[in-house]
Amino acid sequence: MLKKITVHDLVHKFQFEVVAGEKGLSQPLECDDLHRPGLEFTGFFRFFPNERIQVLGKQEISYLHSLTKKEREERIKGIVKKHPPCFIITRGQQELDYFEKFCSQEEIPLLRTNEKTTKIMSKLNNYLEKELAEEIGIHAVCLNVFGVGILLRGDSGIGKSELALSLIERGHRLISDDMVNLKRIDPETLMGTHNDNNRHFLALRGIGLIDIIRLYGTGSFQEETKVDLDILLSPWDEKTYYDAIGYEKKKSKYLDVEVDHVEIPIRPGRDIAALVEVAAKNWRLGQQGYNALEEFEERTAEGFK
Amino acid sequence: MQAIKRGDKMKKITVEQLVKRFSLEVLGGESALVNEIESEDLHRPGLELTGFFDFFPFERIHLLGKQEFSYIFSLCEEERRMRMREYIEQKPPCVIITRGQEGLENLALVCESEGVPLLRTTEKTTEFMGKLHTHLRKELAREMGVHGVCVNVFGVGILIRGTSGIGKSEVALELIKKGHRLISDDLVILKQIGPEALIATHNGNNRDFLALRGVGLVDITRLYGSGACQDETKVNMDLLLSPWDPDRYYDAMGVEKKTVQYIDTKVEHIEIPIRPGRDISTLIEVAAKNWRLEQNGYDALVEFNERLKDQW
Repeated sequence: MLKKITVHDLVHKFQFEVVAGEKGLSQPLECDDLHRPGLEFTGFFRFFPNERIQVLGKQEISYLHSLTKKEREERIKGIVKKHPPCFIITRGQQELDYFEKFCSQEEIPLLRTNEKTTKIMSKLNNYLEKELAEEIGIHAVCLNVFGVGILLRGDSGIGKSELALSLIERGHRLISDDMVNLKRIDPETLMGTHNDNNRHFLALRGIGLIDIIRLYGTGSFQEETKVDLDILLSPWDEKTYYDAIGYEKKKSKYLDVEVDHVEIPIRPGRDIAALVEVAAKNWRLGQQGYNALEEFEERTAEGFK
Repeated sequence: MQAIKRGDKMKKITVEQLVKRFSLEVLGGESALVNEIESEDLHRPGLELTGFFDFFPFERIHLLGKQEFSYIFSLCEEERRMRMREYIEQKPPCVIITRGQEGLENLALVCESEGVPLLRTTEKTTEFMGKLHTHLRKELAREMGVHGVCVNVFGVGILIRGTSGIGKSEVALELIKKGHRLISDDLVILKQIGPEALIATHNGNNRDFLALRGVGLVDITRLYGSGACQDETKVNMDLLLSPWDPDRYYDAMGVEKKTVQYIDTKVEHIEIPIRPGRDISTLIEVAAKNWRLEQNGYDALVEFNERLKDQW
């Protein structure tokens, strides 16, 4: 699912001056990449990314001014006719005669900022990446345990929300219950958040919907977390062999980002909250390069000498 | 705004490090793999390929994708050679070809003679640029060291500062006992990641360590377990511990909101005066929770004022 924002949102967020083409402000933005047109000004339009915001810095404007009046008119007309979502002029550059004319004609917003090209591009990139981050909703509970972002999954009724409650009682923080929105912020980072409707809420069978902040205070909730560990709760199956040593390191994949995965079988008498806490702490040790299994193997190897 | 603290320094990485990190193929200019990259920005040459070199971005990594290749091949052989030579003579720090594109043997020769590393990846341009940019942003992040202690309390990153001996490490210990996490003691490294995020971390040497007067250096992970430390946190609050001054007026209502700037980020600043009998760790916990309430748009002072207004 790709979200949409409009050029108008950008103008509002970055206080751009609208030089021309106001009618196009409702244009949706669907691409988080920016483009500085170069070859296009020489009349070369193959692979022109017309879905991207076009940013014109000093280099581009200076090139345009190196052309004859007629050439300049043609080239600018050519690129505006391709209908990119908008043009942004940096460093408060003036004298954009043909740009103003064609942008009004074609209803493409022409925006201006006083900021430097690299700076505004970096800010825009950051903003667009967040706003347009690929997002999926999954049925799960998301918590932050000892600073480790955890996704709890499992069939309905297996006790995800009840487990979340035990973890909150132990001082950890809820991010979202039942429906978790996952966002890919960059190729290696997955963020988990709520969907606004379920913010602060936990649904407990028998008791109903409860507000975690009102019951436990603001220290028991956070808006979002990086997701580090994917935990699957499954009913204990007599026939399955459960690996208690950790030979196999498993991974889950959400939106192309890999996350460590563990499966915890549920059986009466097992304190699952404590197991989740241990899984979180152990994940951190693993990050720091410690692996209990390796140490165990080393010790046994020494025993054979 | 209280003060601007700078003293941050630029970092560099070499082209060779990039080649290793992204398993790039080296097609030419091997002798120049020692070239240093200082800019996290990437550049796709456009006008440069047509012979226009004003404002040439010398400091950036250049990438040749499908569009650029297709333009280069739209030129006749002779012109292509000339343009490539002129372009490479400007000496970008390195040029990376994406999508495993082939056919520019001449470019490799020019790169070899001019000492410009020519590299190749099989990945698509946009995807590769995303990864490269994320990597450069982390590696080249401007950073500075601050004398203080950094902890994460209820998910809120707090930088505790104050003069030596005021009890920063001791307060951190109290917080760890209450279930919060240590990031770094004594020397905190602050990094500017992107325009908005300020990240705090340790410097490697002081990881897990807390220095307590009288007791000595203690290893927090060994004493309290791996749930008591974390490697980095976003910094949300700058907290100054100061000796109680009886002649000074301390604002207990929070009328004035103060901020401190570290590198490019403004962080909320509060000052807690120290006096015997005040439990500082509890005050810090409350400050963290209150910060979160304010983020959610709740301000107790505003509500108090409204209640007063209603009565009038």
